[in-house]
Amino acid sequence: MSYKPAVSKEDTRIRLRIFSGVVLFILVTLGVRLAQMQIIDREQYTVQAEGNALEEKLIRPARGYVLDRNGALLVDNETTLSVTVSPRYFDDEDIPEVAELAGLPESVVRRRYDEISARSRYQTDVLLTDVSFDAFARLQEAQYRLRGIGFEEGQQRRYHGEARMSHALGYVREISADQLAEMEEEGYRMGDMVGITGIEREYESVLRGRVGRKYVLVNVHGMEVQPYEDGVYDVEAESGFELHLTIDAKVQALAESLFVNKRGGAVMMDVRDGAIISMVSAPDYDLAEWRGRLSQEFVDYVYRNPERPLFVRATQSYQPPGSTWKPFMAIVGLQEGIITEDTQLYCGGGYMLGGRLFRCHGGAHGSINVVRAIQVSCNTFFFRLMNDTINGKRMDLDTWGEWAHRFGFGTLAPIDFPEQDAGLIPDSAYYNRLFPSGWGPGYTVNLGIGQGNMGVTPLQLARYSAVVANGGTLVTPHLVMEQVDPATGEVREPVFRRQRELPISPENIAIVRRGMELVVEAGTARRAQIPASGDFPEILVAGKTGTSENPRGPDHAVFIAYAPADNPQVAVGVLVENAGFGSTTAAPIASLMIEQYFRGETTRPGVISAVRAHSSARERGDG
Amino acid sequence: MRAWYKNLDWMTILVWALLVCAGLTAIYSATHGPAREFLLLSVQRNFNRQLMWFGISAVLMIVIILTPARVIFRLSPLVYVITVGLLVAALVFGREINGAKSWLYIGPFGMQVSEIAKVGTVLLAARMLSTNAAREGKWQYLLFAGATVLLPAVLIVLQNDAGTALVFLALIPVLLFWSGAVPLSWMSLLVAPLVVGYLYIVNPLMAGFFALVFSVGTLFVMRSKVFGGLAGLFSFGTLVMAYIALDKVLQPHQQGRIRAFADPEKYRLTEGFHVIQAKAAIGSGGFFGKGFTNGTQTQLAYIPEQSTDFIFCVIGEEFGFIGSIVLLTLFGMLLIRLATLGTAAGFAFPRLFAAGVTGIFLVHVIVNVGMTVGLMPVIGIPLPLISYGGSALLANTAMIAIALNLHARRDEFAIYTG
Repeated sequence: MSYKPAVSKEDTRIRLRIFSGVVLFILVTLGVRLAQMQIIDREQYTVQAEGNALEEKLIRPARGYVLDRNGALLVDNETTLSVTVSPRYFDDEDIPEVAELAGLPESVVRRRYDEISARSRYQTDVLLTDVSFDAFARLQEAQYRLRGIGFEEGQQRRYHGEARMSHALGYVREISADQLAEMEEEGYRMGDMVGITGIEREYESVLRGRVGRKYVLVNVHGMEVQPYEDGVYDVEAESGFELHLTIDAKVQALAESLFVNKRGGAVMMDVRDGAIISMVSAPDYDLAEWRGRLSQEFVDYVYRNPERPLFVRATQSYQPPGSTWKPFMAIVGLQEGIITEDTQLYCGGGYMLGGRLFRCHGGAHGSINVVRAIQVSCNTFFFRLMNDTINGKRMDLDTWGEWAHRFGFGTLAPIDFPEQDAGLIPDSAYYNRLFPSGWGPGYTVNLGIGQGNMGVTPLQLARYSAVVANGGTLVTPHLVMEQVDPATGEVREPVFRRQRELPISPENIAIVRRGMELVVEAGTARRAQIPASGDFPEILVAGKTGTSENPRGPDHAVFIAYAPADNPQVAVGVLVENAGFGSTTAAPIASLMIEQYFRGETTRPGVISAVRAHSSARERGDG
Repeated sequence: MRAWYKNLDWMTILVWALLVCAGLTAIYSATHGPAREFLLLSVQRNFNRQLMWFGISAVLMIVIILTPARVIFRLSPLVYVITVGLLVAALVFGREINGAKSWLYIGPFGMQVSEIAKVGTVLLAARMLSTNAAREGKWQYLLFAGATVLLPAVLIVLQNDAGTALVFLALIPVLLFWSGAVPLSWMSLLVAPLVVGYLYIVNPLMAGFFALVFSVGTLFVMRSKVFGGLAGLFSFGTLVMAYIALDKVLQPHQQGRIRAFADPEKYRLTEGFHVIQAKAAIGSGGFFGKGFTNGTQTQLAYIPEQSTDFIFCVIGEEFGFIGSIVLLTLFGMLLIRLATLGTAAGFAFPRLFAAGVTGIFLVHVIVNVGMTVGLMPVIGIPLPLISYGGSALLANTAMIAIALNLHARRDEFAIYTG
């Protein structure tokens, strides 16, 4: 066998050329493709590669703590475990397994995941908040096969101390989809906690702090590998400000305990600046229950209970003030020159108007002056002040309404608290609407004794009481004393609206105050007295009881007070629904709160148990 | 007559060494950069082992070059029998890795026999086709040579490694082209199956359209019914074969890759993931690259198999357009140089052997680089001399060494031509 060249040299050369041509064609094709990718379309691929590798991580700052006026810790945070998900890595066929490991219904996890993935496939979001340690351990064990599942620490509010302060503090919940749509620009994201009511809501931006941002490179499994560009674009998280409240937790706790089994509200404030020392609303609820998935029991209690625990009676429940209105009437009468300190009006046990007798309680008081009228709570005196021409002058509805508004009634107080009602101060337009066929003095005369078509809140009562106590200044109520930056110790005092001086002469205030002192000393509110005890000297209390007539059930007990009577520092407004006379429950509650505030303790266990024994009767028509 | 060592082509050896070093650099980056911590321990060791294989390959190259050409010529049937035997052994005793049963283990020492089989197959096929009988166009010889290539290809398909089998099949037209047994004009008909096959993957409709245009066009241009008929047979035959191969023979995961090639975004998280990430890596490399061990796609482990099948991404991302073009240029130099060396002596055996070697390398480069830049579906075959893999490096080095040997010792063939 011999081996010769198979093809001619010429032929071979052609084939070599063709082959080389094919090689070059292929390499050039690949080269052109590379040029297209690496030079022309580079930007597009770079964006893609960076989108892959670069992830913005939001770092949640610690929510600011809340302390009372004495520095007692009310709210801080505890660390919880959250499960996160990166939709771009996560396979939704893993949802049943995640749900099972977490011990949650599949539908819950799925709905949540759908929300997250609909928002952004590239953003890692919190899938489950506050998972139990067991669930966390199970999920972590399975993490290697659950691609896209991660973990991070979350936080949960933790409450301290005896005082619940449900309404004043308010509760915090995970941000809802609707809220998120509104607040996303502020850096909120799923799984974030936001204040829903109370202080937590009002001071959300202060408590929240500044969200930190960290840019990291993540690997194909979504694991953080290293900071991007050595972290030059990162923003540190800054903890929220601490809020130092004006609330005295001990007074608050006592007041709450006195309101057990009752419906109503009480507000105690510093008469000099409107700092709220206590704000109670009953019934209340346990803030710690607002956590994770709410128990059915709690949902039923909070949302379905006819007593409406979420309703803030201290600032939202308005009722006729009853006789606590009389000092106001006296001030208006004196200030408008309708009466003087010496003006005597006759009480024959009632007031006849349009053939109807408006009764006075306690029989006929005879001819009495304004101080006495306050002391004995003479209805006739104030009916006449409201309705009669005295000294050639009379009070008309508009003057009455104007003064009511000056005292802060019928308007929202400029308070740093979100839930509030303006109450009701009627004017002629109101009556025209209510009685289109016409109305007369018989319809409005009741307003003179704080009954009828009007309503005031406990907050307004306290503020009004403070006006009397401080000699005519309408204070700006507030709950926060100062905001402290936990990192630097920097203190920021919130700026509130300036308090207003009302056009009331000191003499006239003094007259009314004398009447209110006598109410406690020798009138209807003797139960509000705080006698000397041990080393504690007597605390002189001035006040006025009221009974708010209630057509739907037992009357509401109302009481306003301030103390010490000779040098007023605090003012209180109390409303106890369906509890009868103001003197029975409302006055002792105010008295005990005042005592607790000044003495740091209470010395009258008998009074406490008497108040506790009392409960709000059911309203007719209540379920 | 010059001493054989004076004929030794140092240029090819240099290009070979440069390519292996480029591969080592990329493997180092992929296994010793920040990506290291996400890799299996076995993958982390790839660089050191490849370095060792580089040494062994260099020794093998020396040994082969020192071997007389006639020994190689005579031993080629034996080498073929051994390699086919290994393929059968792998089918029986082999270990399955990545779904393919192409690994044979002797103790801890594993070899990918389908890589080694290339050497024996090219040797024997070249020898068969270089006989006068074959040259004179005796069909039995051509068929026999074809069978030489088909046997390992079938065994490799049975091992479930369709990609490597494809490389063997590609040898047939390449060898036919160089053998001279078929006129060049007929070879042009081979364009049809290539284009139709490629188009079928992208869009079957376009493939059908091309088949029609090609057949009718050939008929008119060549003015030959036979030629036109063959063109139609080739193009429509390929259509049918492609349909059978892609929709019936291929396994679901392979079909998935084909689908993902046509529309990667649709299979973003599954089959399309590799391609999208590979393209992002290369494209984001830009003109100059992100720098050695600085590629985010590489170092954050977005590229799967990045020290083996997707190694070109490492080069594209970290060394950019420049690095990629340098690499392709080296390949171009190697291929054209080897083909030129094969033709230098004017003997059939060296020429056909070089043809087989360059054909294999070319297919590897097209498919491997093509898949990383999205011009080819993902077919898991390595980039010669660059990808990690001891068996492949040894086999590829051996083929280059044999080609060099046959060129340097071309005078020894004069004995036969006598």
